[in-house]
Amino acid sequence: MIPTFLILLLVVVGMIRLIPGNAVDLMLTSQSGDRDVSRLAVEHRLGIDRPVTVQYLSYAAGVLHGDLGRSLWTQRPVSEMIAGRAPATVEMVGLAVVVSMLISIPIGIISALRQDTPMDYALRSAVILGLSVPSFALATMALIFPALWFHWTPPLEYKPLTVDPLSNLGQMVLPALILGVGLSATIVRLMRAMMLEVLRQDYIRTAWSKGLRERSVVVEHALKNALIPVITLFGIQVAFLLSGSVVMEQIFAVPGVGRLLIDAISQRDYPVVQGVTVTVGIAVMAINLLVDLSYGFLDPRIRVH
Amino acid sequence: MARATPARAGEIGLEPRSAARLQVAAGSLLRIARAEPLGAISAIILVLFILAAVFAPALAPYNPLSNNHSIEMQPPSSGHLFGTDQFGRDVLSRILYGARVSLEVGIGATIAGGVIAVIIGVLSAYFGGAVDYLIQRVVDMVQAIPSLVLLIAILVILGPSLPNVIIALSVRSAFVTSRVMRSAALTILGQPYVDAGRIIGASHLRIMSSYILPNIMAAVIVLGTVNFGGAILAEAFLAFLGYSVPPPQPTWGSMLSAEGRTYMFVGPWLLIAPTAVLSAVVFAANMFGDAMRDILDPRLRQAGSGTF
Repeated sequence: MIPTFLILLLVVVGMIRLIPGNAVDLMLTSQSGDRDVSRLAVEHRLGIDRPVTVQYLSYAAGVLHGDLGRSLWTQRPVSEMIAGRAPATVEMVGLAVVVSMLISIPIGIISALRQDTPMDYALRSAVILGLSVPSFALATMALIFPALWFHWTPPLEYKPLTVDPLSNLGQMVLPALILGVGLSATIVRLMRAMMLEVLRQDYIRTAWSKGLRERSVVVEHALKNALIPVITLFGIQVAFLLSGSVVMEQIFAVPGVGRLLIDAISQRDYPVVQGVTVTVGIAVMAINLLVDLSYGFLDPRIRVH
Repeated sequence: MARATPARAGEIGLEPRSAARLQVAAGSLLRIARAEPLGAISAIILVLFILAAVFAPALAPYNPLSNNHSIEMQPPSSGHLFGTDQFGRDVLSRILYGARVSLEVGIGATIAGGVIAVIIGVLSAYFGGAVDYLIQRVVDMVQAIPSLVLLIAILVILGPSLPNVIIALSVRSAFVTSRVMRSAALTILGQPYVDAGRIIGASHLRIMSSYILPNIMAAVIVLGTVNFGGAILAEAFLAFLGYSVPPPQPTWGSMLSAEGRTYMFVGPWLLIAPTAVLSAVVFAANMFGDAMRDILDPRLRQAGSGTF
């Protein structure tokens, strides 16, 4: 994990050097004063007037202390900006994961149990359709039709969960649903494949021959074993979720990390871009680590490590 | 060998062997289609899409770029099957030309991404050790960055244009797909016939090209079809955030995000048409990939839903 992190820092620091020179000019156009002096000042603030190795080391040192630099536009510490936005994104992503688990595990199981029947085809098609329609198109339609039919729109002003839970959930329910459905496609596929494989095992046949009911066989014997790769998938899909959250935050006016990043990119606010990328990278790696650790918990055979 | 009767072959003017091969091929295609009905339907949709894109200049009734202010915002009619947009441009023609962009993006990103993924994955698996470790850490890192962010970053650096969009999409899918290529290659490297090849003195290149490559083709095909759909979808997302091919060139993504969303109350056809065709093609690509996987190798579970 550490080497990956170091490479990530390297790329993040190097990214600035790759931005075409006129991007610095872009930033300058909104500032007054002598252009050459301003340019030097900006470059100094960005730190790109120092040699690359120094930049890398000083940034790395900063990250270890939790110092991610300051925004070029607002001068606020980047870590503070991220901390302010994180709860909204975490909540939305968390709800999406819950939604997708609630949808995909039952569908995967049913699909496996009724393999190759019309029900199987229908379920799989529905789930893949959910993945094929761009989420912002779904989101737009999800905003329009309830407005037309029920005169309801989700609240577009963010209220934290602790302050006003009803408004908060009202805002989050649509993006969570849409994100969750997108996530489900992969999980349904995997769940179905794993269940199919597990159901062919001998110990399942033993359970059937003992005369156990279908539900008992499925839930108590098959499910636990089929779940392991599904948990891995969550680790991989976290990056996908963050991607999707960018779009959802834009449409549903959720002040989250995704929007912070996109706004920063368009404003060329490099320290913020760097800071968010590093934070997200760490978060994803941490989640993957947790996933790896959870194997030992779920499957006693793997505990040897 | 001769499955076709000579009389039959004579009727259609083919030699017995070619006729026999045709019959066998047709028979097996039908059998496959019956085993994988969803895959067959998806294949038809994809073929229609490709034909529409390739023959767009011949099929499009109007010039997709010509404004005509007298017929702005018209609902679908006999003259304009999908209606017109806010500049009076025919939506059907724009969809047909947009298909070209989607096809180029899809094929470009899939082929380039696939080639790079195979190279990275096979090299990583074959040489192992430090090379493998280093490459896999880079792959980890690329995978950790949300795909949209990576794509936008690349496009900010390179500038928005069709070739650059293809480059950005290839880079993203190549790194993530290389994981699967690597594990497939590792499985093959463990087989005795690879050792046999080494014993008879096969060079590195020969082992990789003649032993490993043919055996990972199944994974390449399955992931290729799924990445195809993913690339088309990703272009739509980039268009939504404003980083795709700039107007007035029609792409399904920008038609959806710009005109579609802006005018969705007064002109729903502007949103529905591109959404429908885009979703249909992406859906077909995913289903086709599923069917391919079922046919070629049901064990390819890690393929997932694509890399976007």
